[in-house]
Amino acid sequence: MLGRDAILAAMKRADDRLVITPLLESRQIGAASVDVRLGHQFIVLRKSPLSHLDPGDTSIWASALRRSQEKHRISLGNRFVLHPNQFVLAATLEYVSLPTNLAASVEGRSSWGRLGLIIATACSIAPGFKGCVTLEIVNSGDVPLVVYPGLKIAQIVFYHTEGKGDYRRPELGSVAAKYDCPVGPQFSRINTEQDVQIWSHQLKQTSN
Amino acid sequence: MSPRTDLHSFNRLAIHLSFALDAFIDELSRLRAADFPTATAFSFIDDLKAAAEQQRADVQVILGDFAFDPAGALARLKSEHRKAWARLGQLSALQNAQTRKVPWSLEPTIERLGKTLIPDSQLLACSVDRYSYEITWWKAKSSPGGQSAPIRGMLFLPSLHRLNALLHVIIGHELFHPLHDEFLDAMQPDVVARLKNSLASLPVGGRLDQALERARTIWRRALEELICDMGAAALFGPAAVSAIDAFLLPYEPDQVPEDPEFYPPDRYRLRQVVRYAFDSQGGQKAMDDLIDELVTRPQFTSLGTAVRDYWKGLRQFVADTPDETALDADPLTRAAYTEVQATLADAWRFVRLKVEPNALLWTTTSGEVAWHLENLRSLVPSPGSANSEAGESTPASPSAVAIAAWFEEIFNRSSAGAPATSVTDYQRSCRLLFKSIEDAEVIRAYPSPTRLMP
Repeated sequence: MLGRDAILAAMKRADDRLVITPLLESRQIGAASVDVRLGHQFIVLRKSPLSHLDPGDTSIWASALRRSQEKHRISLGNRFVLHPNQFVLAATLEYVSLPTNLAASVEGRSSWGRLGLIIATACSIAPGFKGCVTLEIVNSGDVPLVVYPGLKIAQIVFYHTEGKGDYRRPELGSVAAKYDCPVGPQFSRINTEQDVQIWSHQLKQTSN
Repeated sequence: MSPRTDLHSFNRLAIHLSFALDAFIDELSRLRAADFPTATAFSFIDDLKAAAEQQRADVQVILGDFAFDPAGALARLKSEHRKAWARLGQLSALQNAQTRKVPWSLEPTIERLGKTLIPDSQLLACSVDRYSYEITWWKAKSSPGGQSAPIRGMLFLPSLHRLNALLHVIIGHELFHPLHDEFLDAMQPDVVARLKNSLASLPVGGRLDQALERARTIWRRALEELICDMGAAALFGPAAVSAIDAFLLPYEPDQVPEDPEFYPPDRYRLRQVVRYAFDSQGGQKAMDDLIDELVTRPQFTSLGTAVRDYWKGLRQFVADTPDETALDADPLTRAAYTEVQATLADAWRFVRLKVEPNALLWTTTSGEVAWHLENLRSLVPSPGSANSEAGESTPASPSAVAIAAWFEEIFNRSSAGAPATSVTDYQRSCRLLFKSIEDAEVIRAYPSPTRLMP
């Protein structure tokens, strides 16, 4: 895990550097992590237009998602209310560009966790990733919580990888193309994965 | 009894009008609860709602007056009906100003630039289903305290290009429309006097007053567009020229002015922008310095060369003058454009006076361009400008970021920028430009200086 000095060194490197932007305060960089802020955009899932989400059913996946996703953009100074058990997608305000020798993970901040806010479930960020990190936020407490864009809501910790890796490398195929420099929250594109096609269609045809 | 008695017509119209006003106010209340990128829309909604409610009260008065003056009341009601429908355009614009309909990342910057150029103004961006950038503006009602009336404007952007961040540099052009009348009103009496003299000796045919009005309109419309082009170039330098050039590509470049818009020929417009915004006062030197700096950096040598080639090509394009030949073919148009030429130097001075005191001239921040290019090329947004001495950063200039994005785009479209980039790559460039501009405003709004870069 990278400590503060190593994080700063990675940010100041001439090539293949770590970028976290905009970094509004130097104190966002802690002893071994960087605090990241809540961005402006939220994706809320509306339940009523959907019977279910089936990534294997490509014919209705796109239309179901379009019908069920409600995108909100909250301006600075305005609030977003998360009701108990509500699940929303948000993203970090900061755009992160990882060098090819660093991986990272997003973790909640304990101050928010104590209020019942769960920040991220899919925590790891691959080397070479570029973009705002999508946060899967759930209010697991019993009372509604108000959040504001710009609040420090999560932290990123960094790890050296053994050897280099690059999320954007062409040979990683569709996986690499899935989330291309996002600047806001991205809904799941699991339907584009070959794995889903294999397990939902091809094997079914074989077994039948 | 004929159904079109005054009473029947009056009652029927009164019901229609009340129905329309109710629906209008209801829709405004719905919009009051909708998502807009900034608070500006809400003040537009409140004003419009107040006007509609006042009208509803006025209609009640008219209903009461019918017993005393049926014909007069009916005429007033018809007038109110026309007024109500005239407001419908604003309602439609507000519906198209909701967050999901506009490039919301740019709105704080557009509003800030608008307020700097046009003090006490409020601009609302809306989308429109046309391939067009437009602006309408008016003076709002003065406040009871006697303060001067603020200028309200609606800026229309092409809906299908909502996310085409590079093209939105053209907004710089639109921001000068509410400004040019000050200059043109001052120039017009002398121009009209000269036009009257020159038309008297020309074989223009028809009535002289009609010919004079047409020539005046051609002169004024040309100057309006040229002032706005020069304004955009003063703000955004080569990014403005590239965006205007790109926007005009679908059109015939040598089209002479035609009723009713009387746009000047596109080639003529580009020529004047290059001549005044670049050749006359330092702009070209700043451009040359910028390209020279890029060419000397190994990672940008090809890009700098591609930009230089594009600029050379543009200059060759405007060096040809088929547009001027076309303008000269009609004596009246020729007379009007002689006056356009005579006014252009003053128009450029007027533009500079609007831009320079506010430190908005693109050359003041062109030193940032290479830094932004470094970031954008690394697929990273660039919301701050480096200040290595202080170890702090300041918010990026929208102009410098736009120039960097356009230089990268020019490179990508050139033969050197192989392989030809796809629309996916272009969309990514737009996203990075949006994020850069949006985050620059966040840095600007944040109360303490940014300590680390980018």
